[in-house]
Amino acid sequence: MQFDRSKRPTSSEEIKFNIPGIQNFKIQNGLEIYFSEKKDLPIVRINFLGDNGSRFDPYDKKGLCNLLAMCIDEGAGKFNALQLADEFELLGAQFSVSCDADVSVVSLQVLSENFNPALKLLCDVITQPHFKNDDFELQKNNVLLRLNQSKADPDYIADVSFEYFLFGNSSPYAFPVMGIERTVQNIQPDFIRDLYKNNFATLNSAMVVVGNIDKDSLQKELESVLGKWDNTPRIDNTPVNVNRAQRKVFIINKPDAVQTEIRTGHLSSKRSEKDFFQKQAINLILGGQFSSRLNLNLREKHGYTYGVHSHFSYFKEAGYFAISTSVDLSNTANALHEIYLEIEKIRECITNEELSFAQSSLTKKYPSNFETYTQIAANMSTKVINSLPDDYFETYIKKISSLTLNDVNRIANDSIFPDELISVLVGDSKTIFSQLSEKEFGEIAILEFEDVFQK
Amino acid sequence: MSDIILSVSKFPAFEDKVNLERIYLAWHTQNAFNEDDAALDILSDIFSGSKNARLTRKLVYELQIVQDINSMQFSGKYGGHFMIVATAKPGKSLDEIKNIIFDEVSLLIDKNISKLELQRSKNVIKSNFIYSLQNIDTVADLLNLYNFYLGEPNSFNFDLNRYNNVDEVKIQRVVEKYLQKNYVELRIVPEKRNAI
Repeated sequence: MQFDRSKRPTSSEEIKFNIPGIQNFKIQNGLEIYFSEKKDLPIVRINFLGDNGSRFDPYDKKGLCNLLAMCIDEGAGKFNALQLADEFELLGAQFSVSCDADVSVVSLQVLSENFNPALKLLCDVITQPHFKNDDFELQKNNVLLRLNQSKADPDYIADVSFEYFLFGNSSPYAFPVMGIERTVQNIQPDFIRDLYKNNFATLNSAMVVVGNIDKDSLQKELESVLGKWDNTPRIDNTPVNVNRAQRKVFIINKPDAVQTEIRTGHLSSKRSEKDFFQKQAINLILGGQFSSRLNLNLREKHGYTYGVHSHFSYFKEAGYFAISTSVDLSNTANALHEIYLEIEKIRECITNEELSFAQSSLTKKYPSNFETYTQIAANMSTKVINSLPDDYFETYIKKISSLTLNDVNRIANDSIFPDELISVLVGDSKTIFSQLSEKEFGEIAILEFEDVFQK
Repeated sequence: MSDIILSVSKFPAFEDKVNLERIYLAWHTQNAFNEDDAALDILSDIFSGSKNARLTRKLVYELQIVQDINSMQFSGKYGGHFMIVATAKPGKSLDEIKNIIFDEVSLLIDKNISKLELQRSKNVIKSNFIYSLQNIDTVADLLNLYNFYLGEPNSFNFDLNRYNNVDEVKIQRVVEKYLQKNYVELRIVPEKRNAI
């Protein structure tokens, strides 16, 4: 099929973008289902969301929720671990379980023609996991090995150390989701079984479905496989305390690192309608796009790095602002100096031009977040997890378009705090330390990675 | 059609800033869309595409000597290669892992894979293909890929059908034809630390 290149294709009119419609209903045991019908491909995607994450891990058992996620699909219903994997594969279904600090997700993607049997398997995992001892041991060893492997990775060291120092040892958000070697060693199969019994329950969960299926068939199938499942959760909602901090730098010694990994930031407010949209724009301008202030400074002007970016991170009960990059060792202090400078400057004045550019980028890119079944399911999951307003997706573009310069500048001052910056630098500590001044960056501590997570 | 061969097997080995040992085995195979290409893709799924795959089940679950194992048919315009990569668990021997891999290869020559194994692979490949069509970039990439290799952008059905046409005998044939020839074996191990 040859394409006639002599005639330029006519451009279409502006394409109207419609947010996919979402319906919700409950099945007989009270489980809430959020459904969006999508018919362009013969696919169904399910995210089963559980209100449990690593933030509920006991202090001496960090990594517990993650191990639960790793074990729950090692045998369920009438199939052992290998048989269950086989059954999903035979249906061409993609199945996975994961958890982060706040939420566990059991997810399934399958062709519509195989939906019923795949759903049955998914429900077996949710309602009848085996948790056999030897399957547990295998997974526990996997985690310990992965933790061991991670010690060689400066990226990983920087990420987990930064969150630890940012939140502080006693915060539920301080420790990595995977845990640390010392705490994972403490975890035994019975702890997993108890966590499952107490946390996997209808009142603690919700299901998101995006697919080429009609609502009535979906509801009928769900009632049949999951309708009678009943489990009373023990809901534990300890509030998370967040302390303000002072400037401090932590150098984590890794003499063989070829570059210095830098993480800089501070605690911030939880996700909120009051400033979420302004923060999106501010972040884009400061460090969220190639032509951001940080990137134009550190990469284009100074050549310190291949790329630098920033983000506002939102957990359910906390938030933080962070900048992340890796720079060549000899320019560590110079790079940090420029980063701190840009953080000061963003509070002075964001221009009309910068704001319009950010608004244009955010609004024009928005429809592309709703392309795939996976994306739509992920967006719906975010909405459910954060209890976002019903019309959140429908009003996003309008909310971004109607931001005012005054408002954005005001929020920049209320959400970026140069005096509270915590920095983690991973690299050759002797060289890095010789470049830094405490007067500029605050108190400096040097340590080995194995000493980061104190008892 | 690619006819590159190695006159001898090669055994490069290096130390690096890693914590575990890893072995890479590679054999020359065929170009993209050659008549053996689809069978070699299916072969990689048979070896390592699932928990029950030949190498995964043996090395990760039964013997527990390997942290992870992967295999892949890389094919391009002028040739291709089939690769098997295994990361050893601490203290486990790359020699032992290599021997087991070669044993599993021989097993595939001695006895055909089962119809069920083949059906599973085909189902996974078909499903993954359809899942990938969710992204407009992937559709664009595929149109470009088909145009480049086949001269016909609309080759989606052709692509899917070449997998449907593979049977158990074909799998055995490609193992015999390619995985018994000379190969490259690369080992990467942790740097030896000097005692202080």
